[in-house]
Amino acid sequence: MPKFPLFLTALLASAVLAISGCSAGGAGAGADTSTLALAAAVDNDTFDPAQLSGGQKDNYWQAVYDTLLKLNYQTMQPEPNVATKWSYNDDKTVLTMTLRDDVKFSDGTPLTADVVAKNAIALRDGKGPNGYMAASLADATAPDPTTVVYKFSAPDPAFLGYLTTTAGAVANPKAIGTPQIATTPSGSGPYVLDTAATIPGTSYTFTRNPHYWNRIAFPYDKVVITPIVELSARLNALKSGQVQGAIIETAGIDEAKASGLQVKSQSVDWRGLMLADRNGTRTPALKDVRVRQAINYALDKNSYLANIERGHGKPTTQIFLPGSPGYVDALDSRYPYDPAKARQLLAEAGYAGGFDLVMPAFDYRSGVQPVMVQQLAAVGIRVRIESVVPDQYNSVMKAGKYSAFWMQLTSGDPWRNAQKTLPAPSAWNGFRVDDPEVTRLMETARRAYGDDGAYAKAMGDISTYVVENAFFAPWYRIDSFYATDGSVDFTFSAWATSPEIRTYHPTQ
Amino acid sequence: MILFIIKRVLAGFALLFGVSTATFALVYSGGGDIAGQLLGGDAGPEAVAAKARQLGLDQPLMAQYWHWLTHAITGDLGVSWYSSQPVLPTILQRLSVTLSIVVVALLVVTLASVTIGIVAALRRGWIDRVLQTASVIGLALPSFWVGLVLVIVFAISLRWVPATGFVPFQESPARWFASIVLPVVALGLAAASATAQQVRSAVIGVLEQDYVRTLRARGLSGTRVLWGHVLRNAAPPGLTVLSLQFISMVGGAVIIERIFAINGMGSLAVDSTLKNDIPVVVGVMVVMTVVVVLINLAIDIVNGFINPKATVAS
Repeated sequence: MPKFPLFLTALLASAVLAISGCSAGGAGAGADTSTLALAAAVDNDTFDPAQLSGGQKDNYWQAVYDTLLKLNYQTMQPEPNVATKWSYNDDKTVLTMTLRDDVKFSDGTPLTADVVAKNAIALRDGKGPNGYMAASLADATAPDPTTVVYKFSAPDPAFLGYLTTTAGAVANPKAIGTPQIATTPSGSGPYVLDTAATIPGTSYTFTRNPHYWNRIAFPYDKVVITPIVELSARLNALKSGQVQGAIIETAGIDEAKASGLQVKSQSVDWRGLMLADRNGTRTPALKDVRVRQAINYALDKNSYLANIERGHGKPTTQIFLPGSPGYVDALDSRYPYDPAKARQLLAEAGYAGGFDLVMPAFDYRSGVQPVMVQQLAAVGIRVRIESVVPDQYNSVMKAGKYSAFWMQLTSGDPWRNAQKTLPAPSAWNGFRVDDPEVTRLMETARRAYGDDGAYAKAMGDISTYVVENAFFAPWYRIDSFYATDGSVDFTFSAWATSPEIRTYHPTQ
Repeated sequence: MILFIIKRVLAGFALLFGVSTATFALVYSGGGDIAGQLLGGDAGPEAVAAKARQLGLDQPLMAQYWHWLTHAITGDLGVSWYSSQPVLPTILQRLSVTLSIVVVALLVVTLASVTIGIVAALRRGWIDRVLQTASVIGLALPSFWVGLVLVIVFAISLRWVPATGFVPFQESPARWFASIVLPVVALGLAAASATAQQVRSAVIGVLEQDYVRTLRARGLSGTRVLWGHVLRNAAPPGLTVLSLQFISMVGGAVIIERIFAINGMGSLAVDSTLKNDIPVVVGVMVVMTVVVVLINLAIDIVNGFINPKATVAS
């Protein structure tokens, strides 16, 4: 009994201390301009450059790794960073880059050309999620400490763009190939991971890299990234001043704006259907281009966007982004909502009575599903929805188990988009449909690379062919949202759903 | 008592082996493209196949199990497929976070429920009715809703405590307290309500016993009767309920951890399952089984000391 009052007194004292000091504990990160506190929607999985997967995990590795090039958001062209200049040979199979001579890793080890070459080979051979970025790399060598030479088996129009992202991250040679590289990074980037202040899965603290060559470009002395999966918790962290910026979803926009948070958006990912079984392996009807076009006509995409997505996006029929080589403005009006036209095309294809189509459930990702099923039924396409374990959705789709399925894919570099979806051995061509015309058009684009006009035309020809032949049924590019508490500002990259670390700066 | 403890420990080992084997079999035979899911959307089939080989997923299930078991016996639960962090230290770090909240919640629940239960049982009348009504309301309010309301009022409007996150005690006791106060209240409200009802019933039951009347007739003070006899005899059912509440709160922490963005065992269990991070999933199950076995053992021992008949009966 006598211990209870003592305990309660201690508890009360702690409470008073906690409450009086709560500004430091709760909102302190937001008030301190030397610290950038961000919430991420996903946890980090690795710091190994050869295994990075990018997307919403970008901020973690961007803090510790510098990229060889960086993306100019106005021109959408790469510009110098660690590499100061570069040139291709005539047939675009040899890329020679010159590196800065003053770049060091966080332990003082110089970043030299042979290290860059070693990283490139590690990316190619690492079989990681972004290994495809180095798939055409035959070799990488370093004739001198500031010159790296990449040799390709075939020209890769997206390679310079890749060097602005994960493929451009360079790890310390002492770390490459060690198990520690996944958890304890050693890079030449603006910050180093403070392992003492970091609890993996809970919060990651980065402090300045004393050897960083471009310190002035990064205003914050410390960066803290906290993975917070739940949207409501992310919003609460923003509203209470615990973090200064966080990616949010459509469901949180009204709450964020009502709470005085600053919300920016941009359209990067496209949503719609992938009509994957273009050989008619599982669903013979889909082999006929008129059937695939009919599906495009049958769906009222603008209505989905206006009423279900609440206008947060822009209609499209293409997988390429506006402003990128290959985007053809006129194609976006190619398939207006026209059920009569859809029925006519189905009849011409011999499916006047319709056909059966099995699709995986996606209602947990989009409210469009029941309307889509209804509209396809209205033109005679009888959709049967099957349940798929949500977390296995992507892998099941890539395995070619469904002829047509809903998907959200990131648009970005158009060549990268084409590589991921069109060739027979690509990640999103689950039925391994080998279209000779696609191969020819992509070869033409590959050869045209280097001549901006010819390359844009060749990529435009790819987009036109893909849209005309209804490889997909894109509906719209959906908006991605990022909210801040007003103490920081940032610039969106047109090719990413979350801002790069280098773009954050204090508003005052 | 020693034999009793030995029996319980052996039963615990058997349970641990059964749970780990069943978990391993269930998660590994669940199907699906684990390697593809780990690598994400852009990875091609070659990368997926290489990842599967690297993880040993191309080996027969029994070979994978034997590999896991022989390492697990030595305390090596493997490495996370997602984060490359060793599983056991990761789990122990997360467990300390969850236990930090749950133990304090249990303490608060014990204090509140015993106080409410005793007052309600002794006073009866309108106080009993008010406390019972309050308990029912506390039991009916969903913990996630309580948590959200607490965040809005105390973290966002008043800014007295942080809305999310956890601060370790050793880093700052004051900030630790601030970080757990809302989760503890959200987690403990329903448990306190349920336990208070149980304590009230137990105390009333004992108070109505003949020997209590006899003790009073012999002139013992009400305080001595209460603390020396009534509570001692009412304790076993209360302790049993508290042990169940403890286990229930460890499970219920999943929701609370999500709302307050606290990375404890619940979050780890959910996230690793969603990511198909099987070494972590199996590790979590093993460690949680150990925790439950230890709690039950501790309660049995305490019950045995309070009421020796319990030991003999079991």
